[in-house]
Amino acid sequence: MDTILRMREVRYTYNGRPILDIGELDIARASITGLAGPNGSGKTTLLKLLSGVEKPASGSVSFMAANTTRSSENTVRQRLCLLPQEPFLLRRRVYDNIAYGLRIRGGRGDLAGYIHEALELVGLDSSFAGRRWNELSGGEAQRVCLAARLVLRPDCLMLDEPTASVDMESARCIRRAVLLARREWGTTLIIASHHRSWLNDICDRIIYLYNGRILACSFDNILTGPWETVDRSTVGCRLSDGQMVYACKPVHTAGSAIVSFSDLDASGPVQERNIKSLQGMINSITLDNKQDVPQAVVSCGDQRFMIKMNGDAQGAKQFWPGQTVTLHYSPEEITWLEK
Amino acid sequence: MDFIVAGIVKAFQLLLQGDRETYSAVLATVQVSSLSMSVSLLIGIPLGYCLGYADFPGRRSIRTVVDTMLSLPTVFIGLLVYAFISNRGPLGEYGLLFTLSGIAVGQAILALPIVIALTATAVESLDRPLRLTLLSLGASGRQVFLTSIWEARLGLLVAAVTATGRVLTEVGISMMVGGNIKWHTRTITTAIALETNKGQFATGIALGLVLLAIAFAVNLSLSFLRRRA
Repeated sequence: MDTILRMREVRYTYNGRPILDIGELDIARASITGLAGPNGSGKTTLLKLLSGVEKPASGSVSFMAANTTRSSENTVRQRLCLLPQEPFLLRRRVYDNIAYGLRIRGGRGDLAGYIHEALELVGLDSSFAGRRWNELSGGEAQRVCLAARLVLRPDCLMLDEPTASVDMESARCIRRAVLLARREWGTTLIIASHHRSWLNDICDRIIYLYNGRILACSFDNILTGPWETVDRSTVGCRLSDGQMVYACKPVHTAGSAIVSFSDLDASGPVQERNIKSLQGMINSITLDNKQDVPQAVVSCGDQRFMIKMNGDAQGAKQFWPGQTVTLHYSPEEITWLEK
Repeated sequence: MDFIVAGIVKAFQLLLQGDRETYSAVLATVQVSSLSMSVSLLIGIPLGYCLGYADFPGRRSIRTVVDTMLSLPTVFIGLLVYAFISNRGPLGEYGLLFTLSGIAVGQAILALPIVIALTATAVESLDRPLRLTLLSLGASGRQVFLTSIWEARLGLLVAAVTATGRVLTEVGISMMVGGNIKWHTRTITTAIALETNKGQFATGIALGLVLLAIAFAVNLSLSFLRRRA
C-alpha cells in the first residue's frame, strides 16, 4: 500500500484526560477513508492530529515519512487541508477568503481564475467572489470554505462533518466537489460523518472510533450497560424489551462491550451450548456497495444491532423489513472495551 | 466672563498669526506623543496578543496586574522615570532628563498597559474557530499572528486611540521629566498649566483648542478607518 499518512502509538490528552489512543493507522494515497463514531469518540481530534493542527502528547504522525507536527515542516502542513465542521470565514470578501491560502503560499497577482474555478467546483457562480463574509447563508459559507481548500489542490483533504449543518443542495455540491478532487487530482480524502449510508457508498474503508480508540468492527453493536451479575462467571445487560444479553464476566468492572452476531435466523432460537439468542425485528436491509454484502439493522427493544448477512444480495431476499428474526451470539465472543 | 471671550479671540489670533511659542509647544507635543505611541504600540500589540491568545500559567495574574496599571497616576510614573534617569539614577548616564525622549519614555509606560489590555480584549473576543481555520489552511505561527491582528483591527484602533488620548492629555510626566523648558520640552499641557498660572488665558485657550483639534483629527481618522474596515 502506498501510504500517505501514518500514525504510530499516538496519544492525545486534554487537561490530563486521555482523548485519543491510536496504536497504528495508515492511510493509503488517493483513497477515501471514512471516520464513524458517536459524538465524543475522537473523530475531530483524529483529523486535527492527522492534519498537523494539533500535536499528540506522544507518538508520531507522518506525511509521506515527514513529521507533520514539527514547526520546520510547515511546508508539509501546507499539503494537507482540514475543513472544520463549523464554517468560518475571515471578515473579508469571498474572493479574499479563497485567496488567503494561495497568498500564504506565495501566490501573488491575479488569482481570479483559480478563485472562479474553485467557486464553480462547489456550485457557486463567480458573482459570489464579490460578496462579503456576512452576506452568505450557512450552506454557502460551508461551500466557500471548501472552495478555499480545493483551490489549494491539497494532497490530502480532511472533512469534519462537511454536510452536518447544510441544506440538501449544499450537501450534494460538497459531495460532488470532493469526489471530483479525488478523481481529477488524486486527492486523498478522509471524511468524518454521521451519514453512514454516504460513507458506505463512497469510502474505500471506514474506521470506527469509540472512546478515542479504533474498533475492529462497526460500533453499532456496542452495549454500554448497565451490567448485572447473573452468576459467578456471567453478567447480563437487560434490553428495554426485557431480553438479556449475556457476557463472560470481565476482569475489571463491566463497561462497554461489542456483540458479534453470526447471522440472521428466521427459524427461532437454537439449542446449542454457548450460543445465546435474541429476538428482534428487521428495520432495514442495505447493500454494502464496496463488498456487495447485504447488511441488516435489527431492533431489540430500543437497541439496534447491525448484522452483516451471510451470502449475497440474492440470499437476502428471504428477509424483509418488519420481519421478526433471531440473532445468535456467543457470550464468549463478546469483547470488552477498555475504559 | 469677558476675559474668557477675549482669550478665545486672542487664541485664534495666535494660531492664525503663527505664534512661534505656541507652535513650539504643539510641535513638541506631536513629536513626543508620536514617539511614545510608536514604542507602546510596537511593544504592546505583541504582548497584548500573547495575553489574549496564549494559555499559560499565571496568565490571569498578569492580566490583573496589567488592568491595575491602567489607573497608574501620571505623577507617579513621572516620579519613577525621574528617579531612574536623573544623574543619581541607574539610567542617568544616558542624559534623558529634561529631554523629549525622557518624556516619551514616561508616556510609553503610561500608554503600554492600555495598549496591552485593550489588545488582549480584542484578541480574546475573536471568534474561536479563527485559529483552527488558519492552521487548517497551512498558516505558520507568524501568519496566524498577523491575520489575527488584522481580524482584530477595530479593537486595536480603539486601543491606539484610547492610549493616544491619555498620552496627549497627561501633565504629570511632561512636567516632572521634561521640566517644562521653553522652546525645548514645553508641551501643550504643561504650557496650558504655566500660562494659566501666569494669568495668560489667551495662550492657554489657544493651546487647548489645538489639543481639541488633534483629538478631533485622531477620532476622525478612526471613524474613517472603521468605515473602511
